Amino acid sequence: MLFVEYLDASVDNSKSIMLGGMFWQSIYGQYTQFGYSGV
Amino acid sequence: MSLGNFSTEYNSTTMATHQITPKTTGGYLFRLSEFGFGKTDLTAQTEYYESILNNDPADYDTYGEYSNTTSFAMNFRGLGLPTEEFNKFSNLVSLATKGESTCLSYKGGYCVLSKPCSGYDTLWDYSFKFRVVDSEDLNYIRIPLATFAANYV
Repeated sequence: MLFVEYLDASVDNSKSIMLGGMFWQSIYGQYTQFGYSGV
Repeated sequence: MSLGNFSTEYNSTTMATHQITPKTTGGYLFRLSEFGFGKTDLTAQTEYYESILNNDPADYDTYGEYSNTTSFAMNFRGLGLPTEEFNKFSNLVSLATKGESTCLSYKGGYCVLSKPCSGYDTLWDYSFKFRVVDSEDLNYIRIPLATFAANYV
C-alpha cells in the first residue's frame, strides 16, 4: 500500500501538497542510521 | 524554518542545514519550483523526474494561490496530492508497476499494489524530488517512494 492520498481540490485546505508524518519519519530514520550527511 | 524548539541532539552551527521560508511571513505554505516523481541513478550520475506540479494555466484557475505549494502536516499520515497531481502520480506509478497499482481518485483514496512491498524490487528506486523556491540555496530534497509504502495488514 502506498500512503499517497487523494486530496479533493474543491476544498481550499486540499489544494496544496501535504507532507505528513511519514515524510519526517523518513528523514529521522536516515539521520539516525547514516548520520546527518546521509540524509 | 525555525518555528519552535528542536532537539538538543541537533546542532545548527556544526551540522548541515537547509533553510526554507514560507510563502508569506507566518504562513504555512511553501512555494515549490520543482516537484517530480522519477529516479536518480547515483552510479551513472543521471536522473529523470516527471513534473507533477500543478502549474498549468487551467490548474491555476482551480488552485489559485495554492498552486505549486506544499504544507507540512504532522497530523497527516503520508503524502497528500491535490486532484490533478494525484491523477498524474496515479498514471506514473501505474507505468512504474506495469499496471499493478490501483489509485482511487476520490476523497480519502489511496494507492494499493497487488503484491506486498517485498514483491517489488525496482519500484523502490523511485522517489519524489522537490525544491522550495524560497530557500537559502539551490538544494533540493528527495523522498524515496518507499517512505510512503507499508504492507497493509
